[in-house]
Amino acid sequence: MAEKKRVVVYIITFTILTLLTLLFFSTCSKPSSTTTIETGAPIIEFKESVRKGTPLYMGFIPQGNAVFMVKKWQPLADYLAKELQMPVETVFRSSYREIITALSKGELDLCLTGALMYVLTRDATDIRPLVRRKISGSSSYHSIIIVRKDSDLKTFNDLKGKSFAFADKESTTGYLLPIAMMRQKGINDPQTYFSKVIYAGNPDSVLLSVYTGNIDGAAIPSTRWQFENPNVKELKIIWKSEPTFLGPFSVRSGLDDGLAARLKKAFLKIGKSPDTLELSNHIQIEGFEEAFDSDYDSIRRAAKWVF
Amino acid sequence: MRFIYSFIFVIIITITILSLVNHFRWNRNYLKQVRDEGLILTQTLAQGSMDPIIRNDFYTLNEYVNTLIKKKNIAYIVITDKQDHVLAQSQGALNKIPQPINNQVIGLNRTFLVQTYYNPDFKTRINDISVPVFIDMNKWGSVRVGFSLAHMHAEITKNILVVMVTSLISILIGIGVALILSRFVTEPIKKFSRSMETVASGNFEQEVSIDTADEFGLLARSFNKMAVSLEKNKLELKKTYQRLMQKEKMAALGELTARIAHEIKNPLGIIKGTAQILVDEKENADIKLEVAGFIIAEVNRLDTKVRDLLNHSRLQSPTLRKIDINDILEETIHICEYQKSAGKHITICRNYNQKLPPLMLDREQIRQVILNLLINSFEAMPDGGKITVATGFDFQKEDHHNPGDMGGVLIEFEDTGIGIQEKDLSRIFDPFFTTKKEGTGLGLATVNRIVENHKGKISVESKLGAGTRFALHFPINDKP
Repeated sequence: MAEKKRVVVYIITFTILTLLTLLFFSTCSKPSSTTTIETGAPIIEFKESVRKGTPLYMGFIPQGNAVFMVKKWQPLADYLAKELQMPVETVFRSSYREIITALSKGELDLCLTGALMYVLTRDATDIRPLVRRKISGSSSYHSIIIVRKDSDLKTFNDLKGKSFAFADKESTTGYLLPIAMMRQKGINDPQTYFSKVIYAGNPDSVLLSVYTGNIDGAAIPSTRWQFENPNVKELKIIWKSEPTFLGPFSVRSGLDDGLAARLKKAFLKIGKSPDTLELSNHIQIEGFEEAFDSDYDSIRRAAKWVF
Repeated sequence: MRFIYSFIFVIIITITILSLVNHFRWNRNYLKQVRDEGLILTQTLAQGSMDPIIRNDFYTLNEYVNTLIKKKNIAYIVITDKQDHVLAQSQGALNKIPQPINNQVIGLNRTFLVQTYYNPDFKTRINDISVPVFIDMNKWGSVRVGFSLAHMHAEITKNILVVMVTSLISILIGIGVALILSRFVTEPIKKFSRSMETVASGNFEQEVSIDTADEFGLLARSFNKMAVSLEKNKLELKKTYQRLMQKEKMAALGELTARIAHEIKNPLGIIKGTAQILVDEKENADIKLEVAGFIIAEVNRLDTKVRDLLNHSRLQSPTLRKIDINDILEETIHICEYQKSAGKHITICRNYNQKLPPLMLDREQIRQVILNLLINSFEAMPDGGKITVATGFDFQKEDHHNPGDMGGVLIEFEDTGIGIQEKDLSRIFDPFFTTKKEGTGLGLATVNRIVENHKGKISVESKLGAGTRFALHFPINDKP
């Protein structure tokens, strides 16, 4: 009997010890003050050059997905950085307004704008046009109004009471030229003429909204129509504006003249020398021509009439 | 029982080791899982934030941050641009991150960075995961999420508790089941053990009361059968024994009668012969006188023998009184030393145990026992020698199962005399058996009877030429 008691005591003691051990380990796993660091693989070709010297800031009007834009325009920035021997940083924003604000604040040294946006900004910030783009053999383009191929819409007049999309109120082909056309037709308020009006922000979103059928008709620049876009195959053009020059790369008024001249030289080289062909293909711009403020007088007139 | 306990012990050890190992493995896996999930979430957020980061779209980024921060295990979120300037952050996030942890992220050029540290603001450990946003090797910013491990620690603590409680419960259940099982196994064995002991002590009427259909029941039925058959055998044996005893008694009586007749016949023959001489011899008075002396001597001898015989047969049942055995030994030895050892070189060694309790004995009869044994020893040592008298407790194993038995007392007489021949050893307690010329053969027979009357036992060991040892055993019994 005594032995039985002793064994029971052993078992109880052992169980208690076990529980104590578990408790001990559990308190050990409570927060400690040590810091552990774990890192992933290094990005070997990481470009640190951006940080050397005062960079040239190059802005772009919104043209759709920002990652896509980075991939498109970064090689141009790299090219200019090499040509000018100074860092060039790309700047992207969500809307035309933000780019104009950045330009007027002097946060951007160089900027790609649409034609209307150039005209509007020029009034506010006295920017200077530097070069204008040449696409598909032409430095001009026009505004087009698109609908789905399978719709029974044939002319602009058929769009009455339907939904309509503009890109942005600062867009030349996505807003100004279609609005000018509508004024000519006597349509002063698109909001009442159409059942619904949206501003989709950039031409790609506009195109997509028509493609999906959410919107019946929309205005886009003809440059978007020419690009390899599978969605385009299901769409048709029902109106086309008079041609107008593509928007320029402009520099801010305060930028050093020598630097501006070197920039212009670098731009004009693109597409004309073998080592810039690849860049030219990548940014889908055949080349650049010198731009003058007078190139955009027609737009200026339209803008004055519309706004 | 010991087997079951060691079994339980082994089970407990196994459970403990298993749960400890599981606990650590589980902890490690859980930590890794939490880290992996955090990394995936941060990478997803970084991927999804690319566009707003590039466009410096504070509004969208803040939307993301405010949506995600509601998850309970996310402590803070910081989204920075390429210059590590904050684009969006959860409420006061940067102020809550210690400077050294913050500095690690500046200029980060790896696919990710996980820092696990203790954050005093959140009072818990934090998995700080930073994932930079790269497009074609150009860094555009980084997304950084602090995952609170408080939830995980709570989960781990809960897990430990669950492990402990389950272990405890299983141990208790194990002990319970083992005890119940042991009852099924050990109880029948205990019953058997008790019955077998009873049977071993001679009571065959014991029945094992197990009436189950299993092996124990089978065994019990066989055992009971065996007990019944043993009981039958025992009765037969008893009858046979009684018959044998009767025969032996008759034989012994016959032998005794023959011996008595023989003992008496010899002197009678001498008396008859000498009486004839008295009849024939009429003249010589001297011869007559001498012959008459013979007759008287023989008659005296006859008288002694008859008296001894009467003494032996009339031995009364003992009158028991509490006496100290050492005292009576010493007293008797004292008398003997004076009477018998005169002229002989005999030493008597005493080896008494003084702690012996008083025994219930008949003083006179015990004195006679001692005297007879001592006289035998004296006579066995005509040329002197040594007698050792010893007393002590006698713990014989066979007495132990008898409850209330306090053992016995052992009295030993050992001499260095001539010894007894082996063939005589079995007969020395028989009446009239003697190896001495002058002996009546009744000394040891009387000793034997007295000892038996006291419920004692006597045993003898002897080696011819070396000595003899008598051992007396008396039970200790308070009751008369």
